[in-house]
Amino acid sequence: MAKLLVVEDNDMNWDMLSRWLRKRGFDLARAVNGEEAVVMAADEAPDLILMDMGLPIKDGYQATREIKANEATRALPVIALTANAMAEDEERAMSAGCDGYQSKPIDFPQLLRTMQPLLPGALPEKAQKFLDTH
Amino acid sequence: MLKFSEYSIRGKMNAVIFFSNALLLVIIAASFSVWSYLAYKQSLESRMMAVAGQLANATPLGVATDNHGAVGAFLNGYDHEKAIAVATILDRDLNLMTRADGSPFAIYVRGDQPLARPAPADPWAVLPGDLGPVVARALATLGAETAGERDATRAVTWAGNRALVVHPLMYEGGLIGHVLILSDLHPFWDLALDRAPFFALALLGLLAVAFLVADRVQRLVTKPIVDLARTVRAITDGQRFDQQIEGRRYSGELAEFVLDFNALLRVVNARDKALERSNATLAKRVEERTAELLRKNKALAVASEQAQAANIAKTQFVQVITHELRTPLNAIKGYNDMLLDTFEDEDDDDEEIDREEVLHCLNQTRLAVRHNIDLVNQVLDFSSIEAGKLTVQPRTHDLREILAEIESTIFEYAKKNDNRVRLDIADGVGEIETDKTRLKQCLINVMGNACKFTEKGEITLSVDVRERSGVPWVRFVVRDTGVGIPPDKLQTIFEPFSQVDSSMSRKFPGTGLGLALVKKVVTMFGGRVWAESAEGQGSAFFIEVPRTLGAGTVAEGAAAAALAPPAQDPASPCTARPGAPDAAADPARDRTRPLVLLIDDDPAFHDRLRPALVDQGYRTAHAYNGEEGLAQARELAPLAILLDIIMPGKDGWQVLEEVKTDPALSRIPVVVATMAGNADLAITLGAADVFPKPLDADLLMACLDRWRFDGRSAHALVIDDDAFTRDLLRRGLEKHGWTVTEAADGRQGLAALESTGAPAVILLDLMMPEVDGFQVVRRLRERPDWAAIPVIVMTAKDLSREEQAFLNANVGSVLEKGTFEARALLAQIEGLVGVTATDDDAGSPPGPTPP
Repeated sequence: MAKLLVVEDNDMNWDMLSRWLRKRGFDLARAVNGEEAVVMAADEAPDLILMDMGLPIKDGYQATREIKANEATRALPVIALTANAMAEDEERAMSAGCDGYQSKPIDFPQLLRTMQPLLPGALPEKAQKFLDTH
Repeated sequence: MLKFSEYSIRGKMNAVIFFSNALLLVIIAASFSVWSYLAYKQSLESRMMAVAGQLANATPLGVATDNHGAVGAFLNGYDHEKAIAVATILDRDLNLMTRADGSPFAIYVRGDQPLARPAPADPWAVLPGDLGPVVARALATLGAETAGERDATRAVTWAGNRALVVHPLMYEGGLIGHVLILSDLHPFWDLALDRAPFFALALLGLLAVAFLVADRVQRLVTKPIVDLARTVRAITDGQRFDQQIEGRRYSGELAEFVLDFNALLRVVNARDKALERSNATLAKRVEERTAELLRKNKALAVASEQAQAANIAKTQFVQVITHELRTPLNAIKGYNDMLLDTFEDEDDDDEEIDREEVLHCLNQTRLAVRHNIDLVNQVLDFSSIEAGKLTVQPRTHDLREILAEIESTIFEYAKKNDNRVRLDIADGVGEIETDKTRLKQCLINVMGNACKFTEKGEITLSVDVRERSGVPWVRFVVRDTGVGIPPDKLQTIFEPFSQVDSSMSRKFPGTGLGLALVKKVVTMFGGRVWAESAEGQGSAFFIEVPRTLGAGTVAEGAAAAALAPPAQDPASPCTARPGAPDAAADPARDRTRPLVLLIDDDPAFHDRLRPALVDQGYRTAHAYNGEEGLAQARELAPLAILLDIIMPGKDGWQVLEEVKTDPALSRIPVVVATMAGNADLAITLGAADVFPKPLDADLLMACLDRWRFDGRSAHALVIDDDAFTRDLLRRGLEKHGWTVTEAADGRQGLAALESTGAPAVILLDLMMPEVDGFQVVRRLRERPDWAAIPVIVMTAKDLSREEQAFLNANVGSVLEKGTFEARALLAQIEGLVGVTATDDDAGSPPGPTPP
């Protein structure tokens, strides 16, 4: 089962995202700030990280840079999720080392399509089914 | 060599004087020479005559005796007389007397020149040179002149420069011959030659004198000119036009010249001075201008910097806002997607719909939507205040009442974190004249914050009134026992979104604009707000506002005043925003609203109905007995009368009867409210309707609305290019019994007017394609049948002064889009329509008095 690390400080957004992703067959772990994200990336060994960029303590850009700098976590694909939707925000995320970018509000089919090639295995069945019908 | 005309004056003068002197000298010398020459000739002639006479006396004997030796000696005896060239003896016929050998009898030739040999043909040929022919010719001339009298005549004749003198020789009474003397000017020329050097020297000396004289004379004339020229040159070279030339030193033409030149100098000097002055002024002005320019440039630079900073701030603000809006939007969209999925999935999998899940999603969505609505409202408030558009509506309130309302609101907040709320109100706080809504907004905001950051603690709101500079101020202090605020954050908590980056935002969600808004509103009140806190020790927020707030304070004025809140006079008159509906000032007294007269002896009845009626866009008049009621009815001509039956004194029946029998009042509809169930009697007496007490307000309103529009169809025309706004207005109006025609622009609006006839009211947008709102108003006012249609303008446009004035003169009211509430709009509409109903229906009593 594909395991995702969701880094999200906003409770409501976590609630929404976690419900949706769980329903689509993903296994989830949550970090609420950049610092936790860096630690959990190593400890939880997720298949992919969904990273909010505006985070307390350590923001998503910094967390991503650290994850990508660490030998153990370098290979983890990171998808940036941000409510900043300017073109330069995407650039900034990609240059921090993110492998994909998704602006909020999240377009789920698009998120799945972004995740698909980055995951080591296939999408969970339910997610694939969702993608097929949307 | 210079031509004469090119000489200097001095040169010319010198030349003229010198040459005229020289000419004079030459003329004198020449005259003298000629005169001496002539005089000499004269004296020569007489001298020669004398010599000839002497010889004629001495020689006759020698001739007679043929003693040529003696005669020759006599002749040679005159060799000292250098003028004598030849002297000899002639015979009686004036021929040369000769000796026997043909040689002259006796002869003297000057300088002992040798004689030639005598020739028989011409005896005179013996004379050397040209003397022979000269003597012969002269003798011939003389002979011709003296023929016949030769013996007695001494004769003289001139041949050229030579004078020939002949004197007869008498011996013993008879003529024996003649003495001949040929003389010339030889000695004269010798003399002249001798004296020539001296003469020349004298002439030269005289010329030198002439030259000197010329120079002197010239100097006399030219010196003043040269002086003057030098002075003039000094003046012009030195540019010293302030000098004058001393005029007394000059005379004649020069004096005139000096006068003219001095006049010229004065002119030049005056011009110089003027020029200097104007230059100085110019320089000063240039300096001033430069300084001003520099100042302006600096100001411009500062302004541009500020503008740039403001721009950056605005951009950042927009970015933050969008971020803040997107976050809840993300949740809304997510939950919405999930709900859709839930229902879509159901078809596929036959799964049971998880009711709890659905409810959760809906509740979360509602929370997020509410958050966004709050945020949008606060942003709007915020920007309205920033743009100086938000007005405050001060009214007098009991402060305790306001505090009670706040307490009831905050109670819900407090419950969440198990906080207690305590109100600590000082004695004598009494009334406050303020904008209640805004004040509540501020206090709830601050108290809400306190609840949010405090768990299982206490939130205290203390209120007291303190006087400062003779002005009473109300101070609100909100204390909590919560987490407190770190000192570095204390500075920024009143800035927009200062909380955004902190880890608190997850734990304590908020829009990030609350405190910024509080600060803006309090500042607008002319008050101030600040916070004190220590981390972990809770915090205290202080809000100070003047107890009496001027009406319609605009944000800008208050912001300026807020720089020194204690010194500000809170009662200072503030201007209401032009074009803002006056009705808002005090709806209960707004004379554009239709009037309902309440006649009842029970004050509670009045108190209960008044707010309901005002809410529905009416104003009220109150009478507490029948007499008073009738008097007011006559005076105010209300739209309708609400009448109680059982009253002391003149009861309701009597009042009803009087109203219906008085021609001035009979058309006013009377609604009877009574506990005495005698409806039939009331209708018989002319009551329009009867309601049992306690009154059902809705029924009453519906009833009143009938007369409000006075039977005409309550038809509204909505002209707006925004379909959403039209839809909103249509729904709102239809709910209140209106029929609505929509038009998507001015052209359509005018077309609708043509086809459907005049509506009761027109709701008009200003900014529309093709025919805009202003044009529509103009067209309306041009047509007599349309001119009276009340118009309410709704606009999001910033109006210019001209536009404002135009609208004030031509439309009922101007509402700002996004700031008015539906109910206020309806009140406006109904107020306007009530007014025009009377306007149209002149003299008819029903309907309120026009303002």
